[in-house]
Amino acid sequence: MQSAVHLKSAHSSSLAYIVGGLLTLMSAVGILLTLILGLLVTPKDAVEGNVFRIFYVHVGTAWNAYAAFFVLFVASVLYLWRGRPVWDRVARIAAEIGLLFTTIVLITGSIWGRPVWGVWWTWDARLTTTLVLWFMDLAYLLLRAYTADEGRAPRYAAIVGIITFIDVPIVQFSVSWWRTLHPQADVLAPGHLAPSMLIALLVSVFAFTILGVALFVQRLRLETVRDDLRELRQRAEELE
Amino acid sequence: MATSHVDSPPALSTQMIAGAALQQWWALLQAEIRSAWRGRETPVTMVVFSLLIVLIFSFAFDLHPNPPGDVLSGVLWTAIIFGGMLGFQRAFPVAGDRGELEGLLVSPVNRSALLFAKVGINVILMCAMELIVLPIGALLFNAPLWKPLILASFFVGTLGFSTLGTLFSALSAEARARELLLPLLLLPISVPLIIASVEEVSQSLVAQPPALSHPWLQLACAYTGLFFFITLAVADNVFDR
Repeated sequence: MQSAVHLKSAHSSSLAYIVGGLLTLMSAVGILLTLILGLLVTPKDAVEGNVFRIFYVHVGTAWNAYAAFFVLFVASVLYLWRGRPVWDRVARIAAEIGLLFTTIVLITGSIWGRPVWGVWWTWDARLTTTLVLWFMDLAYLLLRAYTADEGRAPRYAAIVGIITFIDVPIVQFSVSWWRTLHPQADVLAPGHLAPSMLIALLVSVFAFTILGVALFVQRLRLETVRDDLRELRQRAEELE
Repeated sequence: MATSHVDSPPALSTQMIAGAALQQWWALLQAEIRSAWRGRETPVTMVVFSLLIVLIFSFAFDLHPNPPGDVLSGVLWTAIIFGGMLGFQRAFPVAGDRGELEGLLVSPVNRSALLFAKVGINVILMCAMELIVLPIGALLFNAPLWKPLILASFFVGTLGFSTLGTLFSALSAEARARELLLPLLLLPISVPLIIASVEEVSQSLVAQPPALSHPWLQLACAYTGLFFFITLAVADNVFDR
């Protein structure tokens, strides 16, 4: 009779455990390497000096924030289309990771801005857009927090997720039309970065990407285990 | 309702469905207007609230009778946006209502017609509010608001903001503490529309020879159109289980 309980985590548990642990370890090594390269190996920036070094973390996390929002978008579309709960879960986790990385992007950017621009914050297009995106993502997660995971709520959340993603380029466009103070970032143009800087940047992007994937895998595993726990509790209540 | 066989597709052409949907929309909008007229507390609260915002701003910024155009535009739009938000919160039923919406959803009424009837009543409520707030604003601050272009900007912005507000009010309808959540969802998504509306009004107020092209008005129109389309596209998802 007890065998009727179907534990999803039992099947995937050991593999997810190993993969998640491995990815976490890899990202830790990668971030350590980024710090060593960024702080010790690369030269000072000709204009900005040592402040420039925060750039490695800034770009690495920014790329991941974009990637997370893209996953949020794709998973939301798939959920509306297919209706499988796993896409809803993927969307939610992507939004959480997106919020984490966007927060780091805003903070590191602000720390960089203080010595270089002389202010912690300026209402420039890219900054404003990122802040608006941060607010939208926060609102999405609050919507998830204030609604149940059943009924129409996940579908509503998926629509909000899609609109959030579509809205980002429009906000960027309208804001840059409105406030054009700020030189465009062109660090990836050839000849702009010293070779060691480029290597540090690539290592950083790679390390933070692995971190994002690791967080994703661990978070998905946690959700699966939680589902199982809920099912077991229900089962226990039925047996009592 | 004039037609009740909307759900039998083979017999009906697209044109007939669209015609039936328009008829239903008109009937539902009339019902919304009657309902808003009976319980007048929503429009009255919206007007008083937005007037209070104008008042608070005039103290907060110590506005003299002739504030610069960009400040005035910002003040008026802020008052309209926050006043409008009070209306959106009432667009969808809360617990303890008499189940009018659930009753309607049992019938095969066109879902887009239902959602756009809500958009319609929100546009009407906001316009009614502006009809009182804008003249008072013009009076208090000596502002020449009665130019066709300024009125057009206010109307386009109102149309867009009502559409967004109705859509997000529907999307947050399942949430606890929904009236707290709505501004958090609605305001960031409205940023392009708010920028465009404020800029258009402010430029019309400031520019001495009237500007020849109106990129901000175009942006407001495009954004409104986009969310019109999105609202139309998701209407079935909003109401169906």
